Amino acid sequence: MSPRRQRKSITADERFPTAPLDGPLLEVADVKTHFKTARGLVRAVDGVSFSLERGRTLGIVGESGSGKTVLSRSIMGLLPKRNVVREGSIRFEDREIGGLAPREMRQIWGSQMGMVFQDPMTSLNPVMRVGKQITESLLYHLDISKSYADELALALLSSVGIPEPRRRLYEYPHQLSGGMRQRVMIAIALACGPKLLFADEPTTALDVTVQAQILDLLQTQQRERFMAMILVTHDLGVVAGRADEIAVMYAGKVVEKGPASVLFTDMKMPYTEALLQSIPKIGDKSHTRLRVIGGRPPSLLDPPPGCRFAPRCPYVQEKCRAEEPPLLPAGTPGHEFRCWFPVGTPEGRAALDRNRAAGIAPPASESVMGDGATARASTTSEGAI
Amino acid sequence: MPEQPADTLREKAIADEAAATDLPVDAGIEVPIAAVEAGTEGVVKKRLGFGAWLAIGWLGLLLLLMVFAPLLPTPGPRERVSGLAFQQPLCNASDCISGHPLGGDTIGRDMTARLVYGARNSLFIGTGAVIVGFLIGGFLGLVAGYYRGRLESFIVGFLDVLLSVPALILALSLTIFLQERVQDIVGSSEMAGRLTLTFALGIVAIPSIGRITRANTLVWAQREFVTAARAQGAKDSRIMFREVLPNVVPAMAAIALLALAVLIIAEAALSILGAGITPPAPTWGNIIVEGFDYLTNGRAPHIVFEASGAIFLTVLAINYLGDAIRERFDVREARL
Amino acid sequence: MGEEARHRLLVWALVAIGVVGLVALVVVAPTGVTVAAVAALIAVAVVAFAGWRRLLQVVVVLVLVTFFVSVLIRLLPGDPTDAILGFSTPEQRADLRQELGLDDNIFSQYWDFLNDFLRGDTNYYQSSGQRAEGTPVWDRLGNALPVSLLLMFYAQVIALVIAIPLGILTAYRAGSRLDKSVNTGAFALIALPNFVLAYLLIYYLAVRRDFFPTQGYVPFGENASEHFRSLFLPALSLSAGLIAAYMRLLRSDMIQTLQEDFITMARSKGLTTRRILLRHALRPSSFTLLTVAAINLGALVGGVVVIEVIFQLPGVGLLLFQAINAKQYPALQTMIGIIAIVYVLANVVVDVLYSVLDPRIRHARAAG
Repeated sequence: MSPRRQRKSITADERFPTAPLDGPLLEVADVKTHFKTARGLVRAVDGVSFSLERGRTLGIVGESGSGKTVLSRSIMGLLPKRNVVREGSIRFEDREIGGLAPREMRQIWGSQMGMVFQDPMTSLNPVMRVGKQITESLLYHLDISKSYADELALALLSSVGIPEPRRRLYEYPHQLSGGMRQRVMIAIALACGPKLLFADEPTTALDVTVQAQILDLLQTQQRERFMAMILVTHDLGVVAGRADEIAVMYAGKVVEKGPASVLFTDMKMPYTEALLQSIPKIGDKSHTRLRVIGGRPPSLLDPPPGCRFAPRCPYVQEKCRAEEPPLLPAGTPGHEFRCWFPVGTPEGRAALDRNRAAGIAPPASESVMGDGATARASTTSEGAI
Repeated sequence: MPEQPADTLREKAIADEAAATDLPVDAGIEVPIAAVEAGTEGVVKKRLGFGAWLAIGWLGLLLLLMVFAPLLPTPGPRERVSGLAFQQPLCNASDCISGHPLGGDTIGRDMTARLVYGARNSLFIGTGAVIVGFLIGGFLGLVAGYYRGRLESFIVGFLDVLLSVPALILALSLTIFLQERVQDIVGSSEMAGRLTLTFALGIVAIPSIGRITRANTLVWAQREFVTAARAQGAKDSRIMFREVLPNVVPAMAAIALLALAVLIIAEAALSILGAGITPPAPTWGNIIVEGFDYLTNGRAPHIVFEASGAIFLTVLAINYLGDAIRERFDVREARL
Repeated sequence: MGEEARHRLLVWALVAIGVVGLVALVVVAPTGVTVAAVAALIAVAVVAFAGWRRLLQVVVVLVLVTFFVSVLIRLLPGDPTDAILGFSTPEQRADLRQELGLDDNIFSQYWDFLNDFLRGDTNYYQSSGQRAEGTPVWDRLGNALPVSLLLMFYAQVIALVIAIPLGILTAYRAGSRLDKSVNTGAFALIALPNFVLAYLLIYYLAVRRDFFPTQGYVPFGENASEHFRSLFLPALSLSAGLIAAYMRLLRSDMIQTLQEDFITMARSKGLTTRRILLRHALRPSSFTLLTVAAINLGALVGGVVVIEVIFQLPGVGLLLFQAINAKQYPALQTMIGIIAIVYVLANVVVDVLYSVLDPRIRHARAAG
């Protein structure tokens, strides 16, 4: 028998035994991904840990360069072959997948884990028909006939809300609109019924009007399939109301993590506060100045000692520059943060006032409020946009 | 970005191909045509590598041998040494004549002498052709790139016409039909052959050299120092030759080398076709032709292989050096 | 079907009709009619796809080329008829001079030449002073052309068969030692002239061992396997430079393609490397390669001539060689003229086809 037929004749359970349903689906422990470049070692992901239960959504939020995309690729295992240093443990269904070879990872890709990419125009093969791109995955992973695969593809396309699905099967990506392409991508990712879905900036390349539709679609599919989802984005508005848990990343590290409701109302890390603050609100008057976070993300090549957000933090004190704060639990269970002078605490407020007096931090009207109060008040659970 | 000379799509494809190969598109006879865009990822190497020194070494050796040919301790290229015919190289048997490390050819001449004098002829022709190509083609390219407008279109059209004919055919026709007339003028058949081939191959080289000169000129002529010079009232010809040309020259040096390699091969090809210098004058191509029958019957393959090896090594060395120089200097390759 | 698909179908249908029609003509009609039909077809195609200006360009080039060819005979010193006819009477030579138009001025000579040329009326003289009883140049070329074309075609096939796997492999393993050594090999291969490779192949495979015949040609009709044996070494020699070029081209193209997002997407679907390389990455890259292969047909002309002489294959190159040796200048003129014209026309056709088939150009034209 050819290896292909051999592989297919094993049942899914034999190939990948399911762990007991009560444990976490994914456990990530101190994962590090460093890239060896001509200029030095780039620490794209520098010690990230979290766990994810079945059917739950984790939102990973961060600026460009925060390492969030590299993190999702690292967990999937889709990194370049050479010049990559990986550390840490990734356990999927109680099985270590962090060090697996691509050949073994291939059994997981598509059937256990799926990924929806950012730009559907470049992520879909431009010279292959849409239907073929879906059935390819189906035929490869499942032991079904070609006609059945075509039926499945048709069903998938309608389930993601594409009108006239039979026609679309034979069309090329460039013949579809942006929103439809993204739906196709979602269909492809969901085709083999993965247990975990990565959505890497799924709406960034789309019109605002379409963004909500796509996010709703993802949420619906997730609930119907009882699928875990990791939603990676730079836009807090995207995860508001759609994620169960949120992890905020900065410069390769998780700086705050917790249940969504808690994060929005009781944030501790100044960066989170600044992120929330920077979202323009509908209630703002016209010509309100945008509140931005001054400065730029640090170079991942040679991170300075101490907290990585220190150069841009309005709360910064000497200690911040000298020592890196560890991830500490906050009051609510599941809520952790990484800060010496957190938001909403007396130490934090004092630090902010000191900085304001010294002229280091911008005044209240232009930047963070100091207690998260205004941010709390103006962010509803439906998201800002 | 300066306007690329790739006017038709075919040329763009050739350009794409050359950009990928980084070397003459067809090492048969056509001189590097393509416009290579600034797409190479290579870091400019500060020091010459091991290969470059090998190449320089071989070429230097060749040059020395050519210059001091009369002083070599070998018989002349037309001298027959009795008993030397078909002698294998590095022959140690008792009936071998010593002092002929490369063996003897079909009628008893020393191979070393033949090859060295052959080098003289082959390289004379190649270099002469490159010079002719540059004098005419380079001039045309410079003028076209500098003046632009209708003059440029006219020159480019002319170059295109030259390009429409397959290079070998063009060289063949010129050589065959011109050689006898030149011989009437010059007298010696060897000299006639040299001049005819030089001229014919030079003509063949014109369009490619013209194209590339124009491309490089376009880049430099748009720079501000040219405008400044003109504002100071300098004459066009002065600007062209004193300001633009010196900047174009380094890139052209690389092209000159690569063209030389191609033309050496071309000369050999013409000899194989019977259109080269008439024997018994030695050129590498002629030596091959003379020795070919003894390759097929297996008696004396060394004749063909020695000459072929000489050609191959020389071309390899020149290509390597030309590439190295081009990486550094050709405007279209360097990152500005 | 989509608009694109219909367009492509139309073009291929036209090409197919054209080819079938041509073959029929070649077989059935006399040479003159075939030539006229082909010329008309090409002219129509050029105007349709590339405009009148291009057609004018082509005509100008053709006129210049034929003029140049017709003038060639005047370059010979003294009386060319001496060389052509050798032993002959002065009357015979005067006749020949008259016929060749050597006594007239350049332009009427050109006109005469053009007339004779187009009517296929140039003959192969022999030094006996008579016109050769044998076949005129056109017919000889007609017999020789298929051999040359076959040789070029086989060379391309061999080149693609070797270059494509190498290109894919080195693209996939870019930067590895395998990649570097293959690249060095390609560099050396480009520097190796095709005739030197031919000599090596002849000596080691045909003289020392008897795997292939040293020289000579066996038509396909006679003996298929001998036919391939006789053409294998020549085609291999010709393909050397092509292999290196194609491999490099495919490699650089595929390296770029492999960095595209849809390749990562395909990986995330769990597909095997082989499938991704062949089904996903190769397709966009192959377009450039195939068009370059088509374009390179012209570049092979120089090599074909030399290889045919070395291997004594009765193609156009050998014909040329024999005419040179026999100093048959008028025949040479005709041959050179025909080769040059076919080369020009073939390039024009490829150019036009390229612009038709390249989707980028087509979209640009549709938009603008």
